[in-house]
Amino acid sequence: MYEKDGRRFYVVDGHIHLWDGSPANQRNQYGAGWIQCFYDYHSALSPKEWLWAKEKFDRYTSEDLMHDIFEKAGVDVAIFQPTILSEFYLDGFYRRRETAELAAEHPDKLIVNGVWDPRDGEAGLEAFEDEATKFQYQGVKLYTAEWRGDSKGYSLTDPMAYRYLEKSAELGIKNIHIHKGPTVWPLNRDAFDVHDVDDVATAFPQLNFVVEHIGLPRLEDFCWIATQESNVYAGMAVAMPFIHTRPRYFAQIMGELLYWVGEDKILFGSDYAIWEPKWLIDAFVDFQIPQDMQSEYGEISDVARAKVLGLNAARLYDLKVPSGVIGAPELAVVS
Amino acid sequence: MTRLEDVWAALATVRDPEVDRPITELGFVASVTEHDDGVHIQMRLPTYFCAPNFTYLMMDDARAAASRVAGAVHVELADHFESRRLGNGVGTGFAATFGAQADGELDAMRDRFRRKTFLIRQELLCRELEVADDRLPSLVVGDLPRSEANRDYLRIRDELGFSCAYSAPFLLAADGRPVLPEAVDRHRKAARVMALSYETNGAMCTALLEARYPTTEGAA
Repeated sequence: MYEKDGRRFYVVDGHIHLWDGSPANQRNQYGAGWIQCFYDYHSALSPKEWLWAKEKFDRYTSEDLMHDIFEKAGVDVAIFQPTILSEFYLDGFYRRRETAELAAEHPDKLIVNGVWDPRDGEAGLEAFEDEATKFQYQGVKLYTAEWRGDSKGYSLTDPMAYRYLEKSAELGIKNIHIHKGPTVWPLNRDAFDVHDVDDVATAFPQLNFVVEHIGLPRLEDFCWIATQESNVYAGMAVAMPFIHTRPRYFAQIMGELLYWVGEDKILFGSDYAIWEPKWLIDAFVDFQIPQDMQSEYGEISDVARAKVLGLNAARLYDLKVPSGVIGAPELAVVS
Repeated sequence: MTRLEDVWAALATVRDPEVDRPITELGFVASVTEHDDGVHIQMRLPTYFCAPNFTYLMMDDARAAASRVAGAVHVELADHFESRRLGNGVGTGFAATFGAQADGELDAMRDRFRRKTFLIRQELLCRELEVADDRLPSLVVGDLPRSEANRDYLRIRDELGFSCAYSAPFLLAADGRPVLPEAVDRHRKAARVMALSYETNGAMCTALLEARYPTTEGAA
């Protein structure tokens, strides 16, 4: 539980990683480029006192993760959103075995999401079913720009992606997290386009679609889709650190999300270890839309902050919210 | 102006289609140098993985703009996962550059972003006008101020083939049709979030480029 000035918040960090980007695990220059790119995001948007050395960033320990997220930041529950990248890393970017062990050790704190890829076809569908049953997945993380041989990505509207979504629904996996990247097939198409989310959100009303990074760099398309589809959510990872470097942009972004998407469908995420949740949460609990923007965007309440920080994710992942935190009684009435 | 200054000036007319700011202002042009085989333009981007399609557009636009003032030019891209293919392919077409990984050129994508940019520039002009929303549909092109924002706006309006005549209606949708009075509020809110998206992209690009290529301490 996070507490500040007598206000208690239930916090779910909806986007964390345990990765290995170290040179020993890099398959090629793409692996080196990927972790360097992450590190540039880290150093570009973190406050100076929160900067890590590159070697630690490449491969931090699971003790670092537990300490930074739970002890230091006061997060209640965190959700792993695995990124595989087998074309870039020998053993994959995501430390699969270690993550599973850590989650088994801390079942009340850690949730691990699954991953599927429509290009794995029918065989992959069966393997995914076995794995999902074993680990009791409640969600999956999809990275549509994942490379696979000559293929530079896929669309959610590919027929096989539909099969995997059907399977997910059948298995009771209701939270589909979508992360767009710079490549897709064909390369001349805008890979960041989120319109395929619109299509599948209509086709699968029983599933929740969390668009990670609020659709950036296509915030406008994401906002438009979220107004059309009641089962589309905003994942705040990557947009959060603007709260420090560009607070007025952050205020505008929050203002737009509150208007288009609404306070019940915005989910906090740090993208740890790109950014540490502690400073993001510290800044967010005191964040307010600046006075000169309030005629356009209104204000943000403590209850809205509480929803973004944890109550909305608690609803999606059936988490028990303790009494005594801001917004908890209201949630009980709603559900 | 020297020949290299002419090239820099030409490059300043090339914009990042996702940001609508000149590539020179964003720091994407690392150097322009004279060689025996023509002018070499060295570009660099905020990330190793910047999307190949938008990257190709900017490199090809840079090539076209620079060659109009300097003849033979070579555009190269540093530190990118497709540096080699993009450097060799620029000028030959996107499909030729990426073979089976593409199924056509970038015209549709360019048109889509040109229309977004049009809406954003129109929205910025609305803010400059300080006119009540209900009056906007009755304004014509001739009512617009003689400002830089308006010059940028009219240029893209013209590129899209929308009339720039004095009596042509001002406030248009992305397809060129006038915005009806009852649709103005929704239209402007959609344009507002589009403008914010572009500004956020620009802020992200600038921050990442600075992390990747720090400006020397003490430099301007």
